[in-house]
Amino acid sequence: MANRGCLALLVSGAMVLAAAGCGGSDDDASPASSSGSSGGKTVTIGHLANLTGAASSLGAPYKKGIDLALADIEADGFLKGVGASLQIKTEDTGSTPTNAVTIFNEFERDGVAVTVSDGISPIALAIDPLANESKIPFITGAGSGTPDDDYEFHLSDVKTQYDELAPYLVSKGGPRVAAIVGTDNPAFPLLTANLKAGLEKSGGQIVATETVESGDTDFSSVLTNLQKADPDVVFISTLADQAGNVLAQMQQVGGFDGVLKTVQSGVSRVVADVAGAGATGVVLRPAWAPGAPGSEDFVTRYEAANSGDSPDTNAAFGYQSGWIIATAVKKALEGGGPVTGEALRPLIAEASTSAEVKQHGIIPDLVIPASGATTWPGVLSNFTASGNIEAVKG
Amino acid sequence: MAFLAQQTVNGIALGSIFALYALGFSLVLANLKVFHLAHAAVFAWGAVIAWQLIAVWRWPSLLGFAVAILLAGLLNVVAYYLLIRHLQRRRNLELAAFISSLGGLIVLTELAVLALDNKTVRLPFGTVPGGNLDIGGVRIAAIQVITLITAVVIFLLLRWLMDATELGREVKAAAFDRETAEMLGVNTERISALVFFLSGCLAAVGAILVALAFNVISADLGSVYVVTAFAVLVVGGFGSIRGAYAGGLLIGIVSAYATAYISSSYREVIVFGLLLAVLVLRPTGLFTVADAAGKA
Repeated sequence: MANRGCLALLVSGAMVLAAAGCGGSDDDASPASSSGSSGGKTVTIGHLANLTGAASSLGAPYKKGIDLALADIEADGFLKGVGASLQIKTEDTGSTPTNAVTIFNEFERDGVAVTVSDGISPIALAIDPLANESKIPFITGAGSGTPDDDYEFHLSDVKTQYDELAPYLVSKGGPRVAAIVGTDNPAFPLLTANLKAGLEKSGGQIVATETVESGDTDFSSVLTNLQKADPDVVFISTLADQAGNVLAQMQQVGGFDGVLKTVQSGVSRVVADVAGAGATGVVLRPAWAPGAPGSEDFVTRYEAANSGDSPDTNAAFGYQSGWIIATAVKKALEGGGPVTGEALRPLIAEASTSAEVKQHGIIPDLVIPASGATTWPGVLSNFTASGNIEAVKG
Repeated sequence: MAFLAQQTVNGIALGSIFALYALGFSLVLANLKVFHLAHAAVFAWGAVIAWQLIAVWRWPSLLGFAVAILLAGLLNVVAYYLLIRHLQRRRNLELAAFISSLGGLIVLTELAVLALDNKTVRLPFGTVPGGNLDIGGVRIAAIQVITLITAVVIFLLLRWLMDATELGREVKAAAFDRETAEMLGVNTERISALVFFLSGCLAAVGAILVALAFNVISADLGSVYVVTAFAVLVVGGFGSIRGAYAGGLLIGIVSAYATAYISSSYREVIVFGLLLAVLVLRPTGLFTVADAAGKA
């Protein structure tokens, strides 16, 4: 049962009142800070971070990733030649779109040149129109965005990875795939639809689909339905916590031995923290994972900077975003133009495939087209017994 | 047939948790005719305390559970004194107490958010024994067995307490007519405090079972189930122990069957459709309480 209505309504109401109360007094606020976009040499990135709440498993590693990128950019003197530097202003959204909107408006008033977020689709979809209206680029790790020609760039590739993953699932697991799909995030049904398309090309099919809401905690009936469908593969398209819970309950009730399990690629090691041994061997194809070619140095420095925490694809998105923004800023300044959102918008797409980002970034084949819908082939990975996500060798 | 039996077991296990949760609401409703919404936060705190003791301070599980249950009971007594007691002589007690309790829910939930740093936490792996029973192709997980037995034992204990003890008779007397009971020598304040204590303990038992079965402890744990508790009380009958237990099982089974035979997408439509149907066809609930004396 997922009814949080009463409390959510009250809290939302209080937040709306608070936001309304705050808005009125800021009409005469200065539109840009001295460290902001035009004319200044310090470019501010506004970071809408999901550090608490449902998406905190995405937000924490993303923050560590982009913080590391900014430290590396500074240490490398990457922007020294153009006399600029980057700074980041991080605000916690609590994983709620209403908070994210309030924070974005603050960033706009503060004159940030570009905004980033680890990104869950509901927040991305709430911020997209604001980014367009304010002409401030918004780079999100989410998988859903609004149509082309806008200021939103989403880093999760919801399609290409399944063209690659589907044949693997069919060959290693079998053709019968059952899906558990979260319904209150538009990315999850989209991922499932794209997996279905990939399976159909590979001789597989989705034989059962069960939907769950983000607040659901009991999956016993859903799992019984899946067992009835006798799947070879179970695909879980939910946030990390919930995917972990599904896997834990699959292990608790039994009956899934020999079934290959796979999760959507945006999850973190939280899946294993929740599921324990139930996550071992679960397959996914994220944009990046430790063990991917050329990643040793990044992993070592990330772990050193974060008390031994292993990076994941969200950390890689943060790191990549930092370098893409730095490169776009550099290109803007080299071109003699101001570092405004409008100036950065086309340069972000250009920067994603630049030699600089290929040299310094961590996801070499990540391409952001002008449409903002990123593509990458991904790295076939699985959860190890220690709970880390690692690229499958060989 | 095994599929039906399996879903029935799933539904009864889920319904047992709903029943334990609703029983706490029901006890208070029977005693004071107040819908004590802060019970939802006490529910969450029961799990949070258990987590603090067992996962953070490494207490033995059973000791941690016992202390968490007692502390949740005491927390609910504190909630009674702070939120309800001073309103008892006021007109419109039910509405005033509901609003006061709503305030208590928000404060206690926000305190739990701070205690957990707005994170979802879990009890350590292995707190509940693994494995499951296989009876004729129907798998019953160990935690489902524990949940079923706990709910039945608590239901029977409550029935015994209310029907066969002096305390139960005093609770019923206070529920029937508080002023008359006082004139007859019943310490109604003590009775109310005791009812809130029992209710808080029940909340913690339910929350610990949720934490064990569903692997989740969060500040809004109680709020997640509060609307379902409404449904259980409406279906079972307000203020009835039997009704809360039967209503919980019924809602759990309907929920499981809806997932099994229609779609998980329609589960809540069906569960709350049942609630509406009961409200229209049998507004007093399935277990009608003939008069106040029959409550509790």
